[in-house]
Amino acid sequence: MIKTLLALLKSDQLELKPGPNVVFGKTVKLTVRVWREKEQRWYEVLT
Amino acid sequence: MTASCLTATGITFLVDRTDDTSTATNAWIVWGTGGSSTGGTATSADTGLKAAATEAYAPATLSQPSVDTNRYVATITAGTAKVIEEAMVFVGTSTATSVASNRCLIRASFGGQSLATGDAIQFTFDLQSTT
Repeated sequence: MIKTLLALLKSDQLELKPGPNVVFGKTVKLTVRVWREKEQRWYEVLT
Repeated sequence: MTASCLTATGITFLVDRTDDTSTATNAWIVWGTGGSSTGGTATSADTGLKAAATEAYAPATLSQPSVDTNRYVATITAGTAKVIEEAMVFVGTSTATSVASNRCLIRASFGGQSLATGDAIQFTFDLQSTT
């Protein structure tokens, strides 16, 4: 297998392309607290 | 089920802020009742709420709880009884006149929160950059 790949590389029949250099992402986190007016207190409902 | 997405328009905004193409520094949070309706689940393609509620947009307080995170916090109080199922962070230059004239940064849909008049929701959105 390796010999075959080397042979392909030497013969220029196999082109190697670089992958992405940087992996970058964003994550979103939502926290929800509910105020109950009647009870006059906060509730954590979603974190 | 909760879905929170940085939107395509939000990514455009972040890129524009990086090179000062956009000078928008204000953010608002708005809520709605359309999170569980058809097409109501938040996706990155969203540009607005599915069904905006009648309450005014709340100015968001911005902070950096850590060096890789932007935090947007606002509280909205219900003027009448309703079930809130979605919320959005949007950015603009000065005053929030309409969502359409500003950019949707983040949209979220979640399990309905039944509110009575005077009840309120405090939303905290953390947008974290990861490598």
